[in-house]
Amino acid sequence: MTAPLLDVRDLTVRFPGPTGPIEAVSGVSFDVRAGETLAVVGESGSGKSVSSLAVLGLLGGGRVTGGSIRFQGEELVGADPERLRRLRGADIAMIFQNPMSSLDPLFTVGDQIAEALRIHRPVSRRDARRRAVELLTEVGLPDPARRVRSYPHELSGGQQQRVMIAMALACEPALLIADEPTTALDVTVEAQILDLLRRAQRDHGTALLFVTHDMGVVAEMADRVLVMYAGRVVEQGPVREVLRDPRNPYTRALIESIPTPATPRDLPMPAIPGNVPHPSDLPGGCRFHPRCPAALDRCATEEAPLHALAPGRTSRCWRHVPAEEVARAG
Amino acid sequence: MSIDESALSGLRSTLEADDYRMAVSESGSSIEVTITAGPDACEECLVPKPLMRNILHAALGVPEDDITLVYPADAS
Repeated sequence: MTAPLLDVRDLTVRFPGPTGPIEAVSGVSFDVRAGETLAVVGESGSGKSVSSLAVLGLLGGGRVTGGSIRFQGEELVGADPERLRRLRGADIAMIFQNPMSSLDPLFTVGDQIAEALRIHRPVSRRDARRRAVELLTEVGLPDPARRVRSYPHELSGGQQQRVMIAMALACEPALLIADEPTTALDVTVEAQILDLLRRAQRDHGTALLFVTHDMGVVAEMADRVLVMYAGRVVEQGPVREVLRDPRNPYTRALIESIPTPATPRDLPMPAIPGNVPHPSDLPGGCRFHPRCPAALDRCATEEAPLHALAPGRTSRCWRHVPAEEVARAG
Repeated sequence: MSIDESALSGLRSTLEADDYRMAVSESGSSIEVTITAGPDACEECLVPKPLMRNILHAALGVPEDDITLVYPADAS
């Protein structure tokens, strides 16, 4: 098997808190292979966005305090900030939930795409401008030759996200990190943007690290899925297998919260009772146990290790440990 | 409301290690937090605002909606 494009091992991220460091991500490991889509899924506060920000070194205010992030074999933890700046946009690009927070309101979208290109590639202003029109065409913005002169506020939310994708693809990155890229969009536009990302990935061979809270989107987009809860990985594996046979109670609960055509319209959307604990107030034992319908006594005092269920398939739950082993361990 | 500077000391020193400066002022029940970048700071490398608001909320106990956050890019 070829080496992964991105290899994250035992990543730990802390933020300063009022009474000491707060651990937002605890010993997280995953990899992304060239051309594939790995979805990182979990509720707000699961650590999924922090893990992806760490890859790009966008943690100002926090710290990677442990572990390793290797991209194309190169260690990024502790790398020179200038090296990370060169990687961002050129080899690893990112799109966020809210395009308006990333687009500069004072410059036309054409200027911004051309600038993204010229920062990393030795191209003339004219060629960069021409490439901006090509990219806007590729991402399906209507009338791209005119839209290239538009300011961000003249575009709809969906069009702004298309511009962000065009900017992200400008340098043909090997890895695109998309953090909730469709959460702020209505469902029709969401489907268009997901389709665009799939097409862009296929045409450019880009690997996609897709961060989302939505298991429905995971089912549509990903090859493999990493499920996170309260800063920990709780399950990972091929999407089809995990969706067909979720082994971790948290994954099961996430899947059960996907509305289906049979979901009654007059009832509230299905949801997991309770909230993800704040990293400063984590429960002992399994972090999910206060919300878990399958919790054992042991879950309140001891955290289960990640258990290998099959090649490429792991889950963190005492339920996977054979009963005789649990009895032996007391 | 008064700002508990000791609750912010950890965040302040983490930011200063990367050549950012943080100024906090209060106005009624809300606070404004302005983070500026020194010459050695990476302006675009601060965590996204929702995450920073969450950190500030944990430190100060002020609701996230009452925290106005100004980043270096906002001032340019």
